Amino acid sequence: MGRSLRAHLGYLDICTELQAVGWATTDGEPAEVEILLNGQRLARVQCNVERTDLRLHGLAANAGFSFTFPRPLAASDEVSVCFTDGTHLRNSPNNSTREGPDEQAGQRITIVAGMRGSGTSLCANLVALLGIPMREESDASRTDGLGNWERDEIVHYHDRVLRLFDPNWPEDCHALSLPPNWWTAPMVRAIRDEMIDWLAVKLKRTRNLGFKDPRTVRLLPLWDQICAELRLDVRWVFCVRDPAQVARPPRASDEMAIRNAEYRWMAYNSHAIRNLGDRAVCIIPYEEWFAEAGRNLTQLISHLDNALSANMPIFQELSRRVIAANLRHENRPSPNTDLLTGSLHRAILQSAPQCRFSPQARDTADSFIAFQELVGAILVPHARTASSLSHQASETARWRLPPDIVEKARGDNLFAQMDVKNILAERRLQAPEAFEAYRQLLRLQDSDHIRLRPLRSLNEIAAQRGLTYFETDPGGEPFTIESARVIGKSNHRTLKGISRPIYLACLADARVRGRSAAIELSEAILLDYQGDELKRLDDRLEFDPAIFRAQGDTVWAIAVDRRSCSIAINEAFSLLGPHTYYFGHWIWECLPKYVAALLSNKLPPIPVLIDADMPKTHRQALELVMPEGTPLIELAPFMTARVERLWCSPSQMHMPLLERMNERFKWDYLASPPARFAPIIRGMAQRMCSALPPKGGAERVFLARKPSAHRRMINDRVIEAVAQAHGFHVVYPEDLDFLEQVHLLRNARFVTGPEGSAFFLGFFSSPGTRMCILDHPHTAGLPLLTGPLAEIGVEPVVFTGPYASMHDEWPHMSDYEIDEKAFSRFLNGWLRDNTP
Amino acid sequence: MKVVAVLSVKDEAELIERTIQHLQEIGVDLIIGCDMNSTDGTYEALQEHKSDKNFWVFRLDDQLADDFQTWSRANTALVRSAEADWAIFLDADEYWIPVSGSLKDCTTLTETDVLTVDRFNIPVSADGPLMPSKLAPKYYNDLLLATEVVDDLRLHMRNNPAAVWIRAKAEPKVMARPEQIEGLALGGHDIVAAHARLLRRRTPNDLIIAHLPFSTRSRFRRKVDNIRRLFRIHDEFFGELTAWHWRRWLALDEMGRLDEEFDRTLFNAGDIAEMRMRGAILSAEDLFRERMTTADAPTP
Repeated sequence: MGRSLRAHLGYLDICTELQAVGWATTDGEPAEVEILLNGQRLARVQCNVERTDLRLHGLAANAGFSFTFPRPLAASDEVSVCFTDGTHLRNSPNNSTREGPDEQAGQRITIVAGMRGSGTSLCANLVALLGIPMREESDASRTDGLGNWERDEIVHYHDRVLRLFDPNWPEDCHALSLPPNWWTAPMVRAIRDEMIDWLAVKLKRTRNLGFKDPRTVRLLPLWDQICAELRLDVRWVFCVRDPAQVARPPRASDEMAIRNAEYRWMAYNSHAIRNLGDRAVCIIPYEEWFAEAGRNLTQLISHLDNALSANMPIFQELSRRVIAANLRHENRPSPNTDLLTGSLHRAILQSAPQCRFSPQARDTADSFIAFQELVGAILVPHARTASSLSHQASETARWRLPPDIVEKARGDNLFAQMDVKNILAERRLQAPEAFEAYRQLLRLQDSDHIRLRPLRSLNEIAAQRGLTYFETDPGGEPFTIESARVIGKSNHRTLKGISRPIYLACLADARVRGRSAAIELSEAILLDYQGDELKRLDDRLEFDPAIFRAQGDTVWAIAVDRRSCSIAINEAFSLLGPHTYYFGHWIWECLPKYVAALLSNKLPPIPVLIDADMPKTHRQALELVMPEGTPLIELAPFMTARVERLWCSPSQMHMPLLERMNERFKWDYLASPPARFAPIIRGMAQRMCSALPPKGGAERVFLARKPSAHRRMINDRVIEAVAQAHGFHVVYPEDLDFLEQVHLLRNARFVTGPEGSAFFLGFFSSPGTRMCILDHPHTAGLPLLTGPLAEIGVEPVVFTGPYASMHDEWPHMSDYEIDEKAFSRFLNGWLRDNTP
Repeated sequence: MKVVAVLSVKDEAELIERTIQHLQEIGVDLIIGCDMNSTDGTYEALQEHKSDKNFWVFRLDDQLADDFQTWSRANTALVRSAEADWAIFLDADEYWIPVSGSLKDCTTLTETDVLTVDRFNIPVSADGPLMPSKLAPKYYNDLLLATEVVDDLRLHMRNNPAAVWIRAKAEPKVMARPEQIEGLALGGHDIVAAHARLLRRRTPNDLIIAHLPFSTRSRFRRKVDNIRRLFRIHDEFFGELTAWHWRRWLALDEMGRLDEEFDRTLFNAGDIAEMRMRGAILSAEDLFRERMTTADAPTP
């Protein structure tokens, strides 16, 4: 190994109000150090604590120390750790806290950036040798420790930010394009605040901190804000390597892959140069380490303003070891580099002595970015497709999954995701193994692993452990819902049920997920069911994006592989769920939960948590019922949030996640007492209608449905034409804003159209409105809609026609045909007749 | 007796008001206005008349693939639910001319299910159509009609390139009892009988249709443009034999000869005199007089 070390070397890593932690060697051996408090010696300590990270630097592995103070330190106490000859360890003297502005002002952060394979790990290693903590011990132990210098937390924070803009991140093609002013997005700001908190805690322990992550330069505006907030002095170290050697494909003959790698090099470096602009940057050419390492070392030490000299034997020795220790990437024969790429590389190298990118480098980078933005719209989808296809294809083939289902599942199609979960289950894979395939295949956000958890009733747990549990209706009352008048064949009957308890609850420290109805507490997963509601029918719990597999009274819940969720929220009312994208569910199931909570007068003024990508009309509907000034917090699909105080209410009816319509199913199970529901409906309508313009609009409205895959009225155009001829205004409600929809229904006297969720707009109709629902003969579930409508004074009638094709499982989803002559004759009478 | 008229239109703003007025004058009780996505104000004009009692309006998109089926089924349904005794099917450029001035006076209505009504083109001069400002019986002498019968007009025009389409008698249209209608043939030229019944059909002598295919150059061009769009969607549906005259005009338009074709359709004074002399153009009054001398006959 060469000559021995002949100097003191040591570092005070951590200084809190309770203890001081660090390491020290003399002549390469664990040293003896003295701990001083306000200049008074407290103890002499022999370094003997095992530290694996020290070995990585060629230091004695057992050179660590840890000293606990006899009393908690005050902020004004000064701690010194010295060698026995009085030489201070680096980072000594120190304080237990660094929250004061004056103390913060002197703090520094060193950021090592550069494309992967450009020597960033080597550089981070050397920066660490200069006494700047670049990672935690836990980070080092995660891999072999030589090449991996990323901090877990920062990697995760960056991933979270990048996934906000591309759920498929990380991807291979480096095609992510961030939107303008991305760092101002509320979700980014929330993550930024978390990062500030995390970093502030770190900086309490050391004045000087560093990290390495190539993505930092893409996220530079974010880091600028963080550093400004914490008043950090930032030192940038930027590693660069010959583009022909970076990210070389395994098959050197693959011209396409070579050009693709060069493109990635250009993309990365151009954005880095543009973002770093003319700020001071220590530019470290990779090849220089192996030609004249001293030049790079001098540059680095000078830039970091370090007291060490590159000529110090100890440092030279350590550097030599690091550079030699397997960190040199193989240098392969260099193919011809593209002219533009070569030009930018040369410009970067020429910038190195000035520690700042030259105008020529910046011009070249700007030109490339302009080109990239110009062609991005065309190239990015191709690049993404190319990069994802190979991985997806191999995984899809491996598990014999239908590619179209996988494709849909990679979006936010819960049906397709459920199919993938079920197909993997059919392959007889154990849940963890199946989930690993699922995770690899779909790459959904915040879906890192699964945990087996008991499944519990929200009502039960809320009543037992809720911070608040306020029962507005104890339930338990029998009720019936009469069917509306039906013209034509039907299978309707009176529905019967027992009312469920309605309450408002607040749960402590809950986790929720975008598009999921599940609430995760530390000990269980909660769903909105009561008594035997879950057991009396067969529900597909795996339809919920938080549930991977259901197993009796337990579920394999999908969880995040980090210390925290995507966002942290103090307090919110949850309206998340797998049904929030569906208009009928939103008006019938979801919104009434919130309105019922408001009507209880027990809900404090808190934000409402909603699914980010639900149709805008759903959000508009919510905004109409919310008290003024109520904030909305959007949660992207599958993103998780930790809520300190989560408020929730049950729906008026038990709403399965995705019921099986088998012999066990009864429409009665989805019923709610109309008399109890009506005041909530009126409450919704009252809030919405106060925003309506004066009376006006069509008197006759036909609520048309756009062609869909199921429950289609196959002669819809003919029926629409007939209705038009009878004076009906044919409307596709989804083309209107929500207030326009309400306005339409509020003022219409006659409403008709094919059965669909649009008829829940009838909740906002004026009493006396006549409503004719066109449907197939499977009318058994219609009282769920017509019951509440009749209760608020709407006069529903159902007009049926024969099935055109039957749906295998869900008969109410069958296609049908309405006899247009009979319908036209019916309208003649219905419009003329004043009797119901 | 209640008569309903199914009036199908596309960009006929020039004619629509006169057509509606005429229908009401001849005793139509209910007009069902079916607009095929007009863009020249025709639909808005129809809407002005809308009424539950006597004027229903609806609109179809003629660019959709199944528009003919929808047109046929919707109109059939409406006609059959209108509680009417008779239904006529017409375009905006067709004026039904009963000898008495009222459809309800036609003598054959009591003994038939379907009337096949002869249709004659109205000649057009450089000054406009040769028709009176009103179409009441007392003006029938001023309403000129081209009556020359050509057995196979398509073949005739192919063999005689100089022949002019408008000078020949046009295809007839029908008036039918609603309860006998199951569907409509293309263009409303015939009905599909309900339950495949054998229907009693006659061609009445006291009822004809005056057809105004040409009026202004701009209208002709717009019709050709519309038909081009229609053919793009429905080319296979029309086939070679259906609407062959429109195909011919599209071809002429592609050759830049549409104006020339319009000019050829115009009658000068010499043409009129010559055709009247040989009976190829008659006034409506003369035509009725000639037809009434022979008893109406069952339609073959």
